[in-house]
Amino acid sequence: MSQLLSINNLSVQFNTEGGLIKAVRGVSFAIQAGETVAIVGESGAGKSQVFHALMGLLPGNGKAQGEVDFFGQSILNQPARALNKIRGKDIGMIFQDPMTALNPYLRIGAQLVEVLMVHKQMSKREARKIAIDMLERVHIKQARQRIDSYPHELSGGMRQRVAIAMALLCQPRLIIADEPTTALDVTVQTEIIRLLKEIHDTLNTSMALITHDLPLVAGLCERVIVMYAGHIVETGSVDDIFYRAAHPYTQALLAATPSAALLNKARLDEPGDDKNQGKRRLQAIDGQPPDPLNLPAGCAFHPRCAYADKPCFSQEPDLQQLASGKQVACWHSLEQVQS
Amino acid sequence: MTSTDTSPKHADTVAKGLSPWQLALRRLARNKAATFSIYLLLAIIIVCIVGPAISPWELDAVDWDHIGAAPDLVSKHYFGTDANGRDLFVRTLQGGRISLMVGLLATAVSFIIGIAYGAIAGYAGGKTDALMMRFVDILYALPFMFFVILLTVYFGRSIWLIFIAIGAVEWLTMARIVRGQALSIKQRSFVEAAKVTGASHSAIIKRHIIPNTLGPVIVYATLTVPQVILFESFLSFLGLGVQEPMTSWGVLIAEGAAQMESAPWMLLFPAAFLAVTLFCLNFIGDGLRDALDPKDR
Repeated sequence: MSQLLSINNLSVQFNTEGGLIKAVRGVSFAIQAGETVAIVGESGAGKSQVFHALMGLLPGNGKAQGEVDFFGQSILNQPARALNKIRGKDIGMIFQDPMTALNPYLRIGAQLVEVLMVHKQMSKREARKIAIDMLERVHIKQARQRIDSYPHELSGGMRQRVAIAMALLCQPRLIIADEPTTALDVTVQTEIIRLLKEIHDTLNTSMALITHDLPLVAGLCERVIVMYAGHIVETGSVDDIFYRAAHPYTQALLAATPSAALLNKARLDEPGDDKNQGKRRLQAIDGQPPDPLNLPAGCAFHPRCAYADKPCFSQEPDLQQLASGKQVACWHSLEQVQS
Repeated sequence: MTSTDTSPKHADTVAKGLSPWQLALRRLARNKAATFSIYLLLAIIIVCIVGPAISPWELDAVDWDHIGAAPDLVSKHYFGTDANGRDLFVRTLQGGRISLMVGLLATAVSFIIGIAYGAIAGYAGGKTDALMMRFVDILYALPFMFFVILLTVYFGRSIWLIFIAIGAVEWLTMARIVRGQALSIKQRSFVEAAKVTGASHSAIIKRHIIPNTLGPVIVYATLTVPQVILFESFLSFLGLGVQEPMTSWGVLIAEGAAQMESAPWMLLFPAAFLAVTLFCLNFIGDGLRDALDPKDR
């Protein structure tokens, strides 16, 4: 597999009235061609900001530093004119709220056709044909008629499908999905995830899925990156994260997730161990996510961590290789391996 | 009128959708006060355009036999004559042409400048926005009357001067409204979505920002028209407006007010036209506001 996107030591800061917010603090990872990666974390972990930074979507008070390399091209902090050659064409993005993702005053066809006319210099007629194909591809029925609908005539799930179609139009190498199912109800969520998986399987696009919903990740992604307070705390394959979570935060996150808890239960339900049968309870993570203006010294997770002791209070652990393809940033999981 | 475009719907076809604008128009059509006002205003406009042609009298012709005469059908002075013996019917309708033209044109000018300026300032944000809006603040701070008097002293009285003076002032508020709208709209995710599909700044402003600001702006524009008409009347009342023998509702009302006790019709007819027009515009503005923002009722 060739490397598609590599992010090296990326930091994002916001200059606010309260002070400097360090939303992302030195994050490095790569996405291979054809790979699906999930970026998981609580609200405020900085997971969205990583991708907003590389797409040039930071607000005026935001500043990004580091290196972002997309297909051999440095794209961080490029002017809009340069980014516009890549955005939409090579990288597509899907947003959280399908209700506001489409302009209410334009027919969806007009919004789809526009993308193709900008990037592929197509005639309106050609672009419309491709837009209809793409709508069919995302399973919108009667695409030929639907293309002339206004967004308010579509349901939330359909709008998200249209948004996905819009991101796919130019057949990008990478799709960034920023919590694509958060605003949808459960049954629609499943449909959208199935659609994303289908798209990945048929078009072999790389995908970066930003989410706080762990079970969602299990079916769709190959690799998981867990972020906490602007840092990557653990990364590994889906199995590594779900069955062999090394970082206390990842473990806590799994324990707090309904279906992951069931999943764990199934694993724990050894024969004869009927105490746990159906009695496993969801566990909330104690405490609050850290105040980004006032991050704790040492490991950012230590105030909420049951294992925290000396080194955690003073020194922030770096990501360390734990096994092949698995990295974790925690003093304790390192000790476990060493002993 | 019956709708003729309802083609038979099959179970497996999707009805051709109505745009938010068309839906708003339908809601407006259901508002009786607003619909009535639209027809009445159209009637006033038509009367002002064709009325002077059906009267035998000219705008500046003096009828020596009827000076300061009351309304009279026999002499064909339907609204009477003024203190100089000129036909008030013709003068009221001619004045209406000027007042309505000033109202509509000055509003249209302020509409276009204000939208373009406000949308750019709001979308650009940051320093550009601050700089552009401080310029607006400075213009706001200029005393309007002083500005108009200065202009008339330099260039003499003319109708174009009124356009410039009123247009120069009215677009400021429009720019502020649009800028505020643009600030909030650029946060919506369809603007981000447009950005990530590689749309240029000008395309985003034209296709995404401006259409979404239009709702409140159109409402404000309909409420600006009466304001501008009143402005013009005010300037004319002070003698800074249109020049004789041309007239406007403001001029006629000023003249009529002077003769109010001896010849009330001189005040009554132009004042009635002005008041009805202003009422209509306000009702239309209210109706549009309800129609464009159905959640806010």
